[in-house]
Amino acid sequence: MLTSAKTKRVALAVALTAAMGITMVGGSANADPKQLTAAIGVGSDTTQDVMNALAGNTNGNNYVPVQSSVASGSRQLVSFDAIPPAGTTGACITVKPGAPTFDRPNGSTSGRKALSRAIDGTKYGNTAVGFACGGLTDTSGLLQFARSSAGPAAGDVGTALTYVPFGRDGMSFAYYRASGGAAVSSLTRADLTSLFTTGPQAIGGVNIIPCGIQLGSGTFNFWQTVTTATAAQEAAATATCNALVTNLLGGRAEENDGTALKTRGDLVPAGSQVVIGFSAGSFIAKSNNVAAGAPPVTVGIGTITDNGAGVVLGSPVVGTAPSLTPNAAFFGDATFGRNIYNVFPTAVISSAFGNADLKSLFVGPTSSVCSASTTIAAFGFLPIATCGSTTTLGSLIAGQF
Amino acid sequence: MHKKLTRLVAVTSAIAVAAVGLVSPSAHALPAGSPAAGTSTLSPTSGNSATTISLTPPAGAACAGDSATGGYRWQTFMAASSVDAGTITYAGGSPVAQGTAFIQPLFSIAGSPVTDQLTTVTTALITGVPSMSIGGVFPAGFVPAGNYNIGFACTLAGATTSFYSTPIVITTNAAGGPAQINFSLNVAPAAPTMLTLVAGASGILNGTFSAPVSTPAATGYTVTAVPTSGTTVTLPVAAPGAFSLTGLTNGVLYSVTVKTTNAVGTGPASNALTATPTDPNARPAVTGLAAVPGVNQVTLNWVAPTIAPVPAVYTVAVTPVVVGSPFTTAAGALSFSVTGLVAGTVYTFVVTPVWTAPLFGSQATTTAAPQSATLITQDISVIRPVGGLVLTQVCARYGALALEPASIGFSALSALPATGTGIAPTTDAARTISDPAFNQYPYPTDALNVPNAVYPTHCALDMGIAALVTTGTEAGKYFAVSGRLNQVTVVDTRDTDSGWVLSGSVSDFTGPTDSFSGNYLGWTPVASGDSGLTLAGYDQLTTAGPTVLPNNATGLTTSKVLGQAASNVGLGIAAFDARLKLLIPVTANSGKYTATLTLSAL
Repeated sequence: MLTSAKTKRVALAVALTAAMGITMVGGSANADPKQLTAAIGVGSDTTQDVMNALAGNTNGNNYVPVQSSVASGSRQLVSFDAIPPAGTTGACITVKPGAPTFDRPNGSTSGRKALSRAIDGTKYGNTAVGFACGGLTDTSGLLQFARSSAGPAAGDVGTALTYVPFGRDGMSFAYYRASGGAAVSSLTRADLTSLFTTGPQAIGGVNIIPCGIQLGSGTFNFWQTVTTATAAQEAAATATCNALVTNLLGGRAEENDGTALKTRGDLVPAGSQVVIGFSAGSFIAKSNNVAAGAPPVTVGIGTITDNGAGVVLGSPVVGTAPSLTPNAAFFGDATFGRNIYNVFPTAVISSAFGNADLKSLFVGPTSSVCSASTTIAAFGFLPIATCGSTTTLGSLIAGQF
Repeated sequence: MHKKLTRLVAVTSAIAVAAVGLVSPSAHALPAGSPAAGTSTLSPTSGNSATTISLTPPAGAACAGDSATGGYRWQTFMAASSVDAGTITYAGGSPVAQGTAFIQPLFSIAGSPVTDQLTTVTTALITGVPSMSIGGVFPAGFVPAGNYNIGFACTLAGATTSFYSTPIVITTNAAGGPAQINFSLNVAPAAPTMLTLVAGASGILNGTFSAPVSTPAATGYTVTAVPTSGTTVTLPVAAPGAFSLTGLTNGVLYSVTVKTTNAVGTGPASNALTATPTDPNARPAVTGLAAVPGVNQVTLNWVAPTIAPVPAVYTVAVTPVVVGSPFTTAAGALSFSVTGLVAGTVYTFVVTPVWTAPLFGSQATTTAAPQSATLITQDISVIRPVGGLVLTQVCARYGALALEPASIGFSALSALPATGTGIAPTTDAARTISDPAFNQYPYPTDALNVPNAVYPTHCALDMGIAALVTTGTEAGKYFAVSGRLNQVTVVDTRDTDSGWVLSGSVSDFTGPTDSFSGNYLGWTPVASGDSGLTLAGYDQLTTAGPTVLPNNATGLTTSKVLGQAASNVGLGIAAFDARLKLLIPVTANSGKYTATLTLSAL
């Protein structure tokens, strides 16, 4: 995890690099920190913690950093969180010495946009009021991969991006009821569809208010496939909840943020309950305290009693914190389970030659990342047999931010 | 500076548009590329695809702006020589293809393309270049043999803004393996170094040179000798080391350089050394050859060559040719007059020492134009007067007198300052043009400008009333009185520098009814001043005469010296004064007595 403190170190490294520029020519670069040559990723909130762990540290815990083969230079990873980590104000990131500063991509879509703009060189950034990282910035060469908790959009036949899966997540709803008795903790897919296409309604005798996940996150996109809501339907259905809080996300909650859900639940009329789509993997990692941001104990993750095809999936998690584990059957469901990816330029990750470092890190079931299945599992994700596959392709993601 | 930045932004925009056009399938002719900013250095200069190479841009190589704020990146490229590196664009971490021409990035030895790299902040330097390979990542057969350029490019929005390029040639080996690609630097050779150059036998210069290793290997070297006049001589040489230039013209200075040639071309010339080929039988020329023009003739003088044996005779050749030229001098002569020449014509004279063959002397040349016989002259004459010894005086002028001790009949007399009209000369120092000490004298001359005394010949000398001597052994015997001599001056302008003696004598004192001897008068001469050294020899040294006491049997009635100058001590001017003392015997009748003091200089 690169916090702002580390960002400051990067800034210091920039100064040192400038001062030592001449002496760095040639082989002396070998003496620099290994992280300076690390493959850099941005994007998904859901997978930020596991990628931080693969990079060596998250939430105060150290992990063995993954690295590419010795022959390919033992390249490591650097992963920037979706939102500034607690205690920092690092809305802007400077990913390596000498690099321009740009807006921190927040979510899978923003991460893939930043990567897409690095590929086509047409610049990334937010020029809107409230974003002060210099507007549009050339990200060429600054990013090697994007974290994505969702695959390419349905029907996308593009090939510019390659989605390399490295684990499987399950997604359910998180719930919170401040007063009036126990929350409704079991719903069917039909219930969710109804809630997120039509809005707040009483189910099981409780007024349930659906809340919106930040736009641009992979979790949002995937939740839409679960609920089958269109963007407009979802916007209308979550308007009541989204109006409770004012922020740069239009009142929507940062994904997988249990505290944010409780904040909204405490503002709704007494006896009402709020629900929001939530990554089960993230719920496990945060509840087990391997990742930061443990959800309040009054926030639970819901049970699916019908996946829409008559299958009872049950709870996505097994056990109790801090020993929660994934429910493999739930995660494996075609509707409520999803692969998590790292996304690369296809021309790089599937190049006919070269880029051995990135291939060694990410491609194939024996790649460094796929071999770190223990770490992946520790963050609530199921290792998968297709880890490291390069067969999932998609188009560049349009947009500057 | 701000204006410059503004311009950069404008250019940036234009390039960005062009770059978009380049990646479009409908792109038209490529725009002209940026010129190369320099050459990067490849080490080693040859190897194969398994060789780790170091490619270094020139020291201080930088992009027009940095990455942090200027948006620049630096890239590497490996492109067929048919591709203008300045036209290469970059997208997605790779150079954009141009038709079928080979264009790829360079790859690190770890297999990563070295593209989209960041410059240093502000200084925009290209730094942190990793160790790379040439073709190490490519599959066998991927890279065709041929000429390529490898190097660094600075890009803005993917378009090359400047680049540093190094040409290489690639050969391939169908057997595959590391040797499937062999690369070699492909540049014209660097300049050799000319080490030595000396004259050898007649018409020959011998030299040595060294040359740096060339890649591709040198195919030959060419030594070039350029004379100060005449035909340039070239000599092909197979390898660095010794060479011998023959057929050169003795006595002509040659400037010699060498160049290296390889498959790419011929490199720059080495440093130049100069030497003059000579004949070992040659002997030196005369020195100091000088021509003295005379009437219709020129006399030549010279110094024999400083080599043994000295030549017995010399030949003198004259141009334009005169009858008898070349002449042969008499044995041992170091001078020769060429007569019968036309006045006003410039002749060239060549003097050559003659030795026994095969030795031969070198030539010495001079020119001169003989004078015409129709010359006129004017003889100047002038007379320096014989000069003279002039004795003058100035009445009522007195030089300073020193304190005088008591003497018979007189108590001590106090010192007296100079008084009277004008300035009494008192020093012997050098003087200025306006010095008044002596120029107040008229230096009288007669009608023939011969110095002559027309100055006052008579001055009064009133000694006043004498007083009775009342002390000492002569008390009651004499009346005593003291006085001062009018200042006397001697000017000596005689070229004989024979010296002079200024002497004086006094007559007896006569009164109305009585007289007494002039020997009762005494004096104390004083040399008040003489000429200083302002003109060589005009610094005559003078001395005052001895004191003569009054009442002396050999007193002033006989001639006594007031002052003098010895012979051969120079000419000059001198002034003399004297204190006078007179005793009057009480036996003399009362009344006014007179006497005449006569001074003469001889």
